[in-house]
Parts: sequence; C-alpha cells; structure tokens
Amino acid sequence: MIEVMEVTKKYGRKKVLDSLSFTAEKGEITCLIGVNGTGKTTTLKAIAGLVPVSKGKILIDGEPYNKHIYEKLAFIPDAPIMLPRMKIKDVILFMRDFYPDWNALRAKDLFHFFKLNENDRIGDLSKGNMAKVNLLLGLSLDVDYVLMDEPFSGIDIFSREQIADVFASGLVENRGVLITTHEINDIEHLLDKAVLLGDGKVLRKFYTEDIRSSEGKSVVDIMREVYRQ
Amino acid sequence: MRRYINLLVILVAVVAAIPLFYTALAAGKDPGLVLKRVSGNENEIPNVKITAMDSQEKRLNRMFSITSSGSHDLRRESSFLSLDEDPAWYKQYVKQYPRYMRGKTDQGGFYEDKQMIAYAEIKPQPLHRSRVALYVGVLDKKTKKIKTMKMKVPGFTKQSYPSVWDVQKTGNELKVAAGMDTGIRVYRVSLPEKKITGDKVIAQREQAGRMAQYTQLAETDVNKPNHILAYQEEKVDDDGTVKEMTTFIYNYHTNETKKLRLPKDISLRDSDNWKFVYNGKTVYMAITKKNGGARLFNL
Amino acid sequence: MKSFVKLVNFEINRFAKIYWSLVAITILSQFTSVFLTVHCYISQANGIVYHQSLPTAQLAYVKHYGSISFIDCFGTVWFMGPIALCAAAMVFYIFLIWYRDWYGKHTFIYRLFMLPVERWNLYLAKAASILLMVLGFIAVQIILLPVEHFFFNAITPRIYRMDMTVADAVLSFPYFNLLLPGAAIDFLFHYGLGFTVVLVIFTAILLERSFRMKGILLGLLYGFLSFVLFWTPDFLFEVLLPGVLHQQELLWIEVATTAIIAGYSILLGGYLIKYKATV
Repeated sequence: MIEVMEVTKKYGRKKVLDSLSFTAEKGEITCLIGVNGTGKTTTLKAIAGLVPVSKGKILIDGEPYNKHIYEKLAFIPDAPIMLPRMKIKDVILFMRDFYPDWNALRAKDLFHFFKLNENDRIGDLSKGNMAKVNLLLGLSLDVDYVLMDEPFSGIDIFSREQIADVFASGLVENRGVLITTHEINDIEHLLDKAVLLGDGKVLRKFYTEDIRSSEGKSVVDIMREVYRQ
Repeated sequence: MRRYINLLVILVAVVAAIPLFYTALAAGKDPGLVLKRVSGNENEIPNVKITAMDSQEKRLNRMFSITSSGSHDLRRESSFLSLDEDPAWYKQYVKQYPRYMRGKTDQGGFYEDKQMIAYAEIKPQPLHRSRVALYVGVLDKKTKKIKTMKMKVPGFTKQSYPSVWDVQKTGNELKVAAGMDTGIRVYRVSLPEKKITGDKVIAQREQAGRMAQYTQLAETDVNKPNHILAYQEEKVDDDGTVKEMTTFIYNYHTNETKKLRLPKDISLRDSDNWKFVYNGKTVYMAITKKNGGARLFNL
Repeated sequence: MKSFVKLVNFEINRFAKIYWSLVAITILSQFTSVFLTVHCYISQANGIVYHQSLPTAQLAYVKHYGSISFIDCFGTVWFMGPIALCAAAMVFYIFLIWYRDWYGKHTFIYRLFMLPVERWNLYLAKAASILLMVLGFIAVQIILLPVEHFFFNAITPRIYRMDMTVADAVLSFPYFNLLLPGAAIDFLFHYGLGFTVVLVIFTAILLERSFRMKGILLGLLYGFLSFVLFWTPDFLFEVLLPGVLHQQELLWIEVATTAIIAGYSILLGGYLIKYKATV
C-alpha cells in the first residue's frame, strides 16, 4: 500500500500540497483527479521520491523512502526522461543493466505490441511513441506499484486506445496503479478508486463501484459536483 | 564488455602510464655523486650541503645537491617535502628537543655549548605589532628545563627593523648582537637576573655616513661558541654602487672592534666575486678567478 | 560497487565522443608543433648557412645561434594550446555534468534519481568520472611525450640537436611542473587538492539544486567557507603563530584539512542528493 499521510509541500511561500492524505492499494487502479495546478504531478513525484516534502510522511508498504523503493515502484512521467541521442535499443539495454527486476520478455512483448523501431532515437520520437516508450520502460519492471502521470496527454486517439488496451491486458493486474489524467472517459471503466484534489487538498475520495451502486453516478458526475461548488 | 571499452582504456592508460612515469623519474634522481673526505674532521660533513650545476655543451643544465648521504637532482625533489632546507644541526635540535624548538625559526639566533642551548629573537609583540621585544629561551641540556625571557629592546625605533645576528655566552651572560637599520648593537642579557643589563653600540650609521649599511659575514657554525662577530660596512652611492667596503671584527670578550685590512691588489669593482666567511678565530676571504678556482686569504 | 562502476562507465560514455576528440586534437596539434618547430629551425639554419658559406657551417651555426632541443617544441600554441583546451573543457564539464541532467533536452535527472542505487553513488560516480578523465588526459600526455621525442629525434639532424631524455625535458619546462610535478608525492598532493575542489563545487551545485535561489547563496558561502578552512592552518601557523609548528607538521595538517573538506563535501553532497535535491 502507498500511504500519503498529511503531506505538505511548499515551493517558496506557495503551498502546492496541503496536509494531503490518501492511500493507494496494491491490485487497485487509483486515479488522482483535479484541474491544472492542483498538485497531482507533485503528489506523484513526492511518492516517487523525486521531490522532498515539507511536512508529512509517505510510506511504501510501511517503509519510508530508501533506495529499495525503486524495486517496488516505477514512475512513468508525461515527458521523456531518457537521453535524446539514445536509441530505443540502447534505452532497453540501459534499463536491463541498472534494474535487477527488468523483465526482458515483457519488454519484448510490449515493444512488438507498440510497433516501435529499436533504431529510433528518443529525441526523434513523436509524442505518442514517446508515451509508449515510457510505458514500456515502466511496465517492464517487475514492481508492485506503477505511477503514471498523464499517460494520454497530447497523443492521438489510436495511440490512446493502444495504451488503454495495456491496462486491460493484465499487465497491471495485481499491481497498484496510481494515475493522473484529464482523459477520464478513456479509463473510467478500469478505475477502482478516485481521489479528487483541489488546492493541494483532498476534496473527495471514493471507490467508483460504491458510487455507481449507491448513487448511480459516474466519476465525471462526482467531478462536476465537486468542482462546480 | 564493449560498453566498458572507454572506461577500460582510460583506466589502463592511467594505471600504466602515471606510475611508470614516476618510476622512471625516480630512477634518474641520483646522479651518483658523493662527498669524499680528503682531510679534516669527518664530523663536520653532515652539515655540508653543496648545490651544484652540471653544465655541458649541447646538454641540458642540471641542478643537484650533494650531501654526505648522496646526491639528487633538485628538479625531482618534492616541493612539499623538501621544505626542510634546514641544516643538519637544526634538524637534530628539532628531533631531540621538539618542545623547546617550537617557534624558533631564526638559525642565527642559536647558541650551543656543553651545558645549554640558547635562542634569542627580536620580534613584534603579538597584539602590538609596532612594538618589539627580545625573546630569549634557554634549554638546560641535562635537566631539560626551559627558561624563557621577554625584554624590551633598548635603542629600538620604528625605523630600526632589528634582527638578531648572533648569540654568544660569556660567563653568566648572553651577548646578543642585533643588526638594525641604524647600526649594530650588542645586548648583555644576565641569565640569573633574566634581564638586559647593558648594551653597546658597536657600529652606527649616523657616524659612518647616510648611505652606510651593515651586513654580518657568514659564519661556518652559527650555533657554536665564537669569540668574534665579523661584519662589513658598505658605503654606497645614490645609485647603489659600493664606494667603500670595510671589514670589522668585534670581540665579545674584550668588547673591542678591529678593522681588518683587505689584500692590496684587489679592486672594489670586483667585489661581486668576493666571498667572506669566518669561524671562531679567523675571517677568510675568497676571490673567484675568471677561469675558475679562487684565491683564499686569511684576514 | 557494481552500480557505482556502471554509473561511472555511463558518465564516461556520455562524454566519450568529446573526450576522444580532444585527445585526437592534442595528438595532431602536438605533433604539428614538433614538426613546425624543427622545420622552422632547420629552414633558418639552412638559410644562414647557405648565405654565409661557412666551412664547418652547421657547427658554427649551432655555436652561434644555439641548438634546438625537444623543449623548444613545448613553448608553442600548437603544443600548449590543446592542453589548455582540455583543461578548460574539464572545468566547464564540472558544471555541465550536473546541469545537463536538469536542463538538457530531456530531464534525465528523473531517470538517474529513480535508479535502484544509493543516491550518493550518483555524486561519487560523477566525481570519479571527472577525476578519471583528467588523469586520462595526463596519461595520454605521458604516452605521447616519448613518441613525440622519437619523432623529434628522427626529423632533427644530430648536429643541430641538444640531446636529452623525456624526463629532463618535462622537468625543465615550468608549465609541465603543474601537470606533472617532479615527485610522485607532489602529484598526489596537486591532484588530491584538485579533486577536493571538484567535490566542493559539486556540493555547491547540489545546494543550488536543493534550494534554488537561496541555494546559490548557500553554495557560494559553502565554497568560501571551505576556502577559508583550507587556508586557516597556514594563516594560523605562518602569520599569527609563526614557527609554532614545524614545516612538515604544517604540511600534514594541510593534508588533513584537505581530507576533511573532501569528506564533509561528500557527506553533505550525499545528504543533499538523497533528501533535498529536487527534480
């Protein structure tokens, strides 16, 4: 379980996260929802240990940040983070070299699924292909938790469908997925939990199945209620 | 392995080339020169260090030093570890009496006899840099007890710039010869009373003339007992040319100053080729000849 | 340890193209220097010898104008220029090795921070790669010198030549004393001090990366304090209390001070990169 406990993050005087608390369980897909600037990406970065928090605690399976979290957790950002001159095959070699839990077979499957060219340089890839490479790098690690930051952002509908298929394929089964996205419609049917953020705070969190069965509402309906107040 | 080729090439180059270079350098360090006794007291040899230059046609000049323990190329010496350009007797003091030797850097201020080592230095006081004091430290070689004294310096002015030239002992007194801009003074320091009991001006610029300057001649053994202080008075022109040069000796026991006569057949124009040195009894003058060698005089 | 070696290897591979280009420039330029220096001397000699029609012409020329030596090849822009270029490149890269990961076309620092390694390995690997590359340049120069010397001897007529060993040539050229001091212990002191300076700069950079605007001031302050600490024993025991320490003792205190500065730079840098530096 990922536990975010009373986390506050300030950039200078600006409070980006304000006593944020929620959990994300293994085996569930949790979505962080909010308008631009509510702290979704900062939350993911903080969980991934990329940004220190000003207050509060973040635990991964009960443990605070240490080097072993990257054996449990993968972060898939929305921007390219590999060197632009590297070819896709070099990137895969790099990951295999540094990550003991790199699953070469799964990487190969995803590589063929996404129809990538191993000699393409990272810097020359389209946004869609870059998103696919990021997904390949993240999902080819045998980790318990995958954090995804706007995986559908700015890419064409066909690439989006391919990426959505990955969710349905069982590649994220038994893993905890924490995702941020504006494209709720693409994955609403896959979500287990939603956490609505506003001004760095949790405005509402719920299980999608519970809301559907008890109130007959979708995630988008709840979003309208919360954000139009 | 191919991915590691850059790292391996650099590592191999570094590990091979740099140690090899310094091994080769160290191998050529000793030109194999030694000091050989022809005559005289072998015990004086540890203090002898000759700096020499090997200069031959169509060959690079080499500077090296020769001592009784061997010779080595000066360029291959560590500039950090060869800080100790001090003579053997000084290093021996540091080794034998480390506590006593702290803060004692002016080799001209030492005196040693069978019972004691004394050191005198005139230096600015720590928190009043414009004021100087005479610091004296005496070590009893048998009991290892150290006596320290700090005294005001009579005759000091801001223009004096005094420094200790020589320290000698007569009876229970230390005689501290101090060179100043204004001349030379000899202070008598009473060891039982721990104070300056007298001082004598043995040379004064005011009397000699505005452009007179004084220098001590080199001693063979700066720390050994000596009856005399040998010094030179030079009168210079406005442009720094030496007009007149006179050599004096001052006797610590008789308190008398005597003027020494230089050889008749020499000219002041060649004074750059003159070298003076003195021991307990005699002042020697060497005049280097144009085609090598030197004439030696006993003044 | 394995991760550390992999990181060092990765850092070196990133700079490899530029590195080997600099080595190639050095080789070409220094051989050009040897050739041009000898060519210039011989042309001059031949011109004068021809005009004056001296019977033992070449010997007389040498007696009058002097011989040419291997050292003469050192004092040219062709020879020293590439050395200066490599040095400047490394100084520049001490900063670039960090800032390229944050401000490069892609923010590679994300990937570096998410590697399953102790974060201070990133710090140490970058420092080690700088050190190795600098020593690599030195090693290349050491390897080049005897080859250049051989080339010099091959193209210079014996009658004009002042013979000397490579070691003699190196020791007699002042600027080489900085790169290749005459004693091995001096080499360790020089490069140990240089490495410590790199560590201080690295930590100052990490202060900036951790605290941004405030971090720039902190970084400068850190550099200044390290500088003051380095000079404190010298100031204390040479100016305020001269002679209290013997020279050898002062030297070893300076060595210890340098080691302390290096040590706390690594500790502070490691702490910053683990807990404070932000992407």
